[in-house]
Amino acid sequence: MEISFTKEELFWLILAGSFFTLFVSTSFALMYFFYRKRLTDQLLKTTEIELQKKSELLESQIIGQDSEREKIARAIHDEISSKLAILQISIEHLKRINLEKNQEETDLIVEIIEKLIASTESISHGLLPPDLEHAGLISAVNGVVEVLNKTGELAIDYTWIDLSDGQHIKETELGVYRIIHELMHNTIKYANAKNVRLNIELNRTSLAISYSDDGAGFNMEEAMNKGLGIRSILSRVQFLNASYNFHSELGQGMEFTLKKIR
Amino acid sequence: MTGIILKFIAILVIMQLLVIIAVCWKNFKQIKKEALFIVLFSVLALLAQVVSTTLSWLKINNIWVLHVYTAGEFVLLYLFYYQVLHLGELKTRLNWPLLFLVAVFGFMVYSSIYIETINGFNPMSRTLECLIMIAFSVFFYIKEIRAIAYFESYDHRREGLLLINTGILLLSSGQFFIYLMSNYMFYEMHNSQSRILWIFNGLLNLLFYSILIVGIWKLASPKKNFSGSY
Repeated sequence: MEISFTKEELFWLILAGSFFTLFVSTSFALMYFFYRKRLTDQLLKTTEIELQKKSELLESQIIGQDSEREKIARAIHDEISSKLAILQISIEHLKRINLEKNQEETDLIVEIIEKLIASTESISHGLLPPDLEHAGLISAVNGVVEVLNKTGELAIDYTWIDLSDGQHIKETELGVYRIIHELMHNTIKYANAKNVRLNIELNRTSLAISYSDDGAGFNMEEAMNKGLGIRSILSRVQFLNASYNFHSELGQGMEFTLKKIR
Repeated sequence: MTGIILKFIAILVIMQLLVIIAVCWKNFKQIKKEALFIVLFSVLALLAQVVSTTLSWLKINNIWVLHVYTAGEFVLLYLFYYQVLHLGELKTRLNWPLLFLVAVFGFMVYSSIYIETINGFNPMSRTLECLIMIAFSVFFYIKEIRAIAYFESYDHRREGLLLINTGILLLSSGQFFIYLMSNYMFYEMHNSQSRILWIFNGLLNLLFYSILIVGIWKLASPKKNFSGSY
């Protein structure tokens, strides 16, 4: 039996067939997108719970780490540095008594002790910058900036506004100090930058920083997945309960801003 | 009236393709390997569209362009899926996926020369291509679901690939019947009726290239910002 169609019928058949296949594929695509969204939402919920647990763990780790650093810094300063200073004075006294004898040896010992004092101070300051405790964040960062500017490798344009009336919150400022430290570390180690701009605005109600460099920049998503210290920075930001913005693209440097309500 | 609409659609398609190529040109460094075939496909589509529109305005038969375009389009879209579906992993001692590509391409060329006439449509090649592309796009969806379920690291550029895949599925399924009956439409059907079907085909192309623009845009522009508050 042969089925025949008129031209009119065939026209409608082709049109209906095309609409039908298009309808089927559109429905399939829509169903897929709905299913995908549902699956993603479910996975997000699970991930959020895991992240919450991780952030609690991280918080206690940061608190523990900072507290240990502080203890070690104090121990180095109070125990080792002061005893080395006494040792230095004693040897210089000994040198004055025995003017003729063992001049060269005592000079050498004094020199070694001076270097030891400098090293212990440097380690102690690295663990807990004394300026941060006594003069606050702006001064502590200034110390780091001066050292880096002297090396000539990096030109840091550091500006600040301090309207805090000397009110310092040590935990917050220490957290921000560590973030700036990590940013500078990344700039030096990975970015191959020549210039850095750093601005800190401190007042009684908020603390804001903006940091940018003119280095190689990076792919944000890859950096988030692979590390580059960005995860460590964001952990600190999370610990501070602050808001942040990271911006970078290849060859365009990077920008980071942070705001914390005190 | 239908003739004007068809011309208007042809110009719009050319403009859409120019936008795609401009987006790719601007973000060339960011384009990943798999997207490169989509870029080449867009260039091929632009050339074919310009040549066929020009020939059509000069009242010269332009259907031979479709034969060349079909073979080129198939190769480039196949290579796109070869990358994104990792078809290379299926090879044993022989590279079956590439042999399949060569076989289908050979069939298309043979069919254009010996089975179908070069001045008529190529329903066999077109429908075969549509079927293969529909199958590939469904496999891509399955692969994507597996990727989410197995917690593969998220890259927002995959959204771009997903959109391109959706565009290919909609275009292939919508065009399937039209190209299957293309010779009949060309030789037997009333001109006014066949033009309506070609307008439908043109609208499908507009939809496809619109999706492709968004897809390519997502592929070519990596996320530059991360922000949030705790």
